[in-house]
Amino acid sequence: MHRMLERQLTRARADSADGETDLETLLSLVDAAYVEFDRQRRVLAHTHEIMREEYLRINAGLSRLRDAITQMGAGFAIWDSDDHLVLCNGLLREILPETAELLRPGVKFADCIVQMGPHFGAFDGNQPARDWVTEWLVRHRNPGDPFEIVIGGVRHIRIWEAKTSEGGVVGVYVDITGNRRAESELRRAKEAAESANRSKSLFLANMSHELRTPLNAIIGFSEIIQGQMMGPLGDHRYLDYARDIHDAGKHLLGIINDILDMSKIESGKFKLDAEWTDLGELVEGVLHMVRARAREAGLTLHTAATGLPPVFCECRVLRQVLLNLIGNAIKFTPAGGSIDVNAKMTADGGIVVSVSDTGVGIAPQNIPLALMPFGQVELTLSRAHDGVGLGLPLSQRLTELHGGRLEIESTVGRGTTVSVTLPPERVGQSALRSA
Amino acid sequence: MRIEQRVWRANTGWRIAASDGGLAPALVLFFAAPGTLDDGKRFAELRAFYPGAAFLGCTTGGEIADVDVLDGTIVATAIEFARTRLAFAEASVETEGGSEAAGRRLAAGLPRVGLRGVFVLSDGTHVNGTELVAGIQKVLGPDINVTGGLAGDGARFVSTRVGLNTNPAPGRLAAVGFYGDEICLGFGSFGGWDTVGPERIITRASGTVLYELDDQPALALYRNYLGPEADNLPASALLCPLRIHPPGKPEAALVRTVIGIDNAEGAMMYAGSVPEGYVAQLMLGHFENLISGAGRAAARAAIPGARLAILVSCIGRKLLLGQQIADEVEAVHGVLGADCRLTGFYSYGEIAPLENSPFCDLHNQTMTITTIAEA
Repeated sequence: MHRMLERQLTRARADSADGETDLETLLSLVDAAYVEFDRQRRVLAHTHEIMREEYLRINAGLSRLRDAITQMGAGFAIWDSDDHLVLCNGLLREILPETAELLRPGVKFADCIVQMGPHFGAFDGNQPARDWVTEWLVRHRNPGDPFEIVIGGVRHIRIWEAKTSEGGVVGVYVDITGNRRAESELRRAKEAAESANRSKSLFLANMSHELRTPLNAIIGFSEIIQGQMMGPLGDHRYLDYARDIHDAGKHLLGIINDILDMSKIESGKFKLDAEWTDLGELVEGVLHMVRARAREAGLTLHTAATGLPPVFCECRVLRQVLLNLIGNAIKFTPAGGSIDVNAKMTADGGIVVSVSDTGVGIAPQNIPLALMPFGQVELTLSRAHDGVGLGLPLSQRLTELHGGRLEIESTVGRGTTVSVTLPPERVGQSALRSA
Repeated sequence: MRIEQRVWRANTGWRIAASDGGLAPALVLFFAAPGTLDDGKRFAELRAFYPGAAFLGCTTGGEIADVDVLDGTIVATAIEFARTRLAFAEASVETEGGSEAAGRRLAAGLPRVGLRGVFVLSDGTHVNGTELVAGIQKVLGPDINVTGGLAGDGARFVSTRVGLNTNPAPGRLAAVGFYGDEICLGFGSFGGWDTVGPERIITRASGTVLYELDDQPALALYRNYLGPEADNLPASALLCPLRIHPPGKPEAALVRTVIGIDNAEGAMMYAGSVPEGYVAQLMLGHFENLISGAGRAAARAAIPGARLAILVSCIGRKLLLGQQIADEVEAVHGVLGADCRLTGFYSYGEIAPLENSPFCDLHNQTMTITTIAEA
């Protein structure tokens, strides 16, 4: 008798008051069992269906992962908790050809890299093959930050490894030899460019010095001729020529001085000789120097620079900056325009001196060019104007030597504002004089 | 240690199923089908059989009397100890969030000195079993083994009852503590369910409520797994337990059983916590594996001279196996031998120590066995 029927008979007897088999109880138990069997059959059939569905889903997921691993642009490997290879892709064998033969599922990680040993360069510097292998093993077993290996001193492989949840290791291996080569070429090119720039500055400094000596003779002697110190010149045109020689010499000297300053700044040899200076007086002095030129150009000149505290600067340098900026404004503003020179405190306690004109303006894309030494040469607009384009870049560098900054705001056809901002630490506590 | 077991059936009333004769029991464990205790008469009769004993019992999803799995009955097992002392404690669970506090209150009622083990019965529908066990262990420490189970209500999941020296009532917890050097307690717990399909991540959950697995509504996944049985939710969800473990720690896996569903939210409610971020995998039962699993639980619980084994087995196993469920009890009987009387019930959650860990936890869908011997 089947054990189920035996139990059902026992139950049918136990449930009856007289100890006899209760037929009704027995039938209901047997009937319930048949109903259960049907239900269990349905459940099992559905279970089978679900397992098939899940198998297909998992299989589809696996095949996607396999595709990803095969197609990815890096070497890939998974090692189990005993450090045996579970799987790797073809690219890993290409990246590590020395051990490609060994890279089959089941191989131990240590055996693979021992094979690599003799080919190895190092992590950094030259290490004996054995140390090299040991160090890679240690890094592999305690994965942390990505690291790089150099094979045969030529091939660079970047390795990223992490622990898997089963206690194994997953690794991504990228051949970065190309990147490393490009980086070193870039570095060489940069060093060459820097060296050329240093040579250029040195050449300019030397040449400027050589030019200055004869120029001083030209300026000095043309002054003597102008003054007719050795007697009258006779024809008045000689006097005009002597003045032309003198003015041209002064102009040339100014350019040479600018080139010298720029060279000094670029070679880091320019030293500031700062002192406490009354900015209002300085601005006033500069305006005095340019007022005649502005008038000749048909421009009006406005200024507001009083009641300011003293600034700690090199007077000559700051004067040169302002002369450059106002000179530019005069140069690039058509007759009938105006120039404003303002100095005021900034919110953080610094001082800003701005020179605004109603001139031709600079297009936004040309502003960085205007701030490059000799950049003006590139700007077609300025071909009509004299100068070598050193004024703005030199002013910017000289401002920066004071810890300040030079900024340009401009609209083509409307005008330009150049601001020189000096930081709070260059500004004294109280005004030298009140307005 | 001497034992007497009585079974009450509607047709026959109380009958003695086994007896060592003329004993004066200290403890009567009783497991009753829902509804059988409602008029209070059966409990009164039980008290009259064993005056002076303590009574600890609960409602069930099926009763176990030796190798028989019964429905609609009450199984009472009276135990007389030679030297072992007992202490009892009870508490109530007012709210779900209070399960840990309730566990602590319950454990605080048991003196620590000489305590060797604790058997707990708890309400099965208003308790977070995980927090309850955590609360008990916070007070008792990891050295004391705690076993027991959550009361059942057939396959209805509406109202479960627990009682200590009173007719069982909803929302109660009760425990017996065993004291002295003579008492020997064994335990074993085993499921035997098989994981099916991919591992999924619990992406949205709160306490014992699971909303989403891999960003998909949990209820929809269960409906798919249950197929034609989906109409019988939530009871049929017992056919698909959920195995959960912390990410990267499959060795700390636990099995969770569904005790309710929320159709509006598409959520499933469990007897224990389902923490967000855990890895989850659905399970399905294979008859042979469940039955041999019960045998493995018995092998772990076996101790020399065991006279009584309390079987707390999951209602989900009974739902799947139907009348063949007796096979699992027979498997236990085959391991523990004829000298060890079996009692127990089908529950909404089993409590036992975790394997290879000093800590106890709530288990689901297992056969959990506590064996008792007295030296």
